[in-house]
Amino acid sequence: MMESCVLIIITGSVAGLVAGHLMFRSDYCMVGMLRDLFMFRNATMLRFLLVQLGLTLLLLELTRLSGGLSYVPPPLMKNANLSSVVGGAVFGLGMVLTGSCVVGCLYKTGAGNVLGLCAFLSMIAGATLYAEISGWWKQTTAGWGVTEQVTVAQSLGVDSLWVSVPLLALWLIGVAVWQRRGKLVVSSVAQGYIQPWQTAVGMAVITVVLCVLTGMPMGITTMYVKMGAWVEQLIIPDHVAVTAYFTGQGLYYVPPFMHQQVAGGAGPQMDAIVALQLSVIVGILAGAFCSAKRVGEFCWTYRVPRTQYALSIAGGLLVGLGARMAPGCNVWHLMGGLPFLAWNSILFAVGLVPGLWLGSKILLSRLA
Amino acid sequence: MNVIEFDICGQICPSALLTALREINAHKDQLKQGAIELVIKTDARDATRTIPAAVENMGYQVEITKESGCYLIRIFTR
Repeated sequence: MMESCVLIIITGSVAGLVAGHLMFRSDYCMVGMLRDLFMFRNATMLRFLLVQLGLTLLLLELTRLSGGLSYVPPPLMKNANLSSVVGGAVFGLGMVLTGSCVVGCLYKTGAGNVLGLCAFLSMIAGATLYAEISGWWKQTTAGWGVTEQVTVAQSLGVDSLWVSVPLLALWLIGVAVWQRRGKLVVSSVAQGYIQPWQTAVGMAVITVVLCVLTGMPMGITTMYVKMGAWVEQLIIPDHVAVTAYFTGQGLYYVPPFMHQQVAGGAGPQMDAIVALQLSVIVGILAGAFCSAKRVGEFCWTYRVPRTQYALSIAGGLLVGLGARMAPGCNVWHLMGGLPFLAWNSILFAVGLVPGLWLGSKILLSRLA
Repeated sequence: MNVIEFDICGQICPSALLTALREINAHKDQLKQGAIELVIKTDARDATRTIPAAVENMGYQVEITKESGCYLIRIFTR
């Protein structure tokens, strides 16, 4: 299986390396982008997420029209279910408390941030915990389906251009206004700072390249469950063998440029999820590490107030759990699903709002 | 002039920003009189953007230097 995934592994590793470098240099923190709107009424960085999403939509449409996309929508994008709203709310609350999202914790860990490492390990624990409740959660949400269609365009029965062109027109107007008002340039004295708009462009290109070469956008958290399963396999292998979430395989597809079907799941086996997601995770860690070393900013610092450790761990657990309840994380839904106009990603974004609001209230009461 | 230094290395935003604002408010009278200056030592790259933006809005001056992999954010009144 792994031998046949060489292209996927190389693509994921390079994408991760570039993403880790860009995100570290710009401090491209998706939590900060969303949280600052609720906490400080500040949309400075959120603007760049919108730049990224609009550009991704544009590039994906152009690639689709030129026949470059093997899957529209990509595998693993499911029918709309309200579980995405609940998962999004849990995820939003957790990511504000922990201060990192599923990739934010990676580039921060790569640069030596101990709170980022705490968040990373807690997310693995939270995602693994979901395996224990997945049967109950699937049963509970079985009747929560909204539509059998995956994307807005499918629901409307039209080509996606009918939806994406009006959105792109609005996006272009917004970008033009921000450009004219000088809102796309951020003042920072950080050494080697990369302007966030450049990182937004880079992340949009990475998403499209991943869709072309691997068949789907960036995904992270199934691999977090798998990492947890590896640990459980060492300690309680009998339990792993009978846990349905570990034995099931949700991914079956033929990757682009291949003729053989591959499969993947959350269990401890080496499969396509390892090729798709571990390569990106290792790439981001390595990219951020090299980038931080280059500007002399790699440093492990442990002397952080206990409250922040507690918030990081509690929030990380919620992020991991919410990412599996949705299912899908901010990277999958916001950076990948929204440009495909996938219903579940829209529902996830809606769910994020109350979570972000509540998390901001809690954080202000604990830290201010 | 007295210099009060706070080491918040390891902390990430928003705690880095909130800690800085809390200390500025706690010392605002002395800061405004020019009796002291605050120096915040941080390794959070984002803090070099968020702290100056907030502090300059409050009417203080800010200077940032880099030392041993950390940023020193100096807050004072001329």
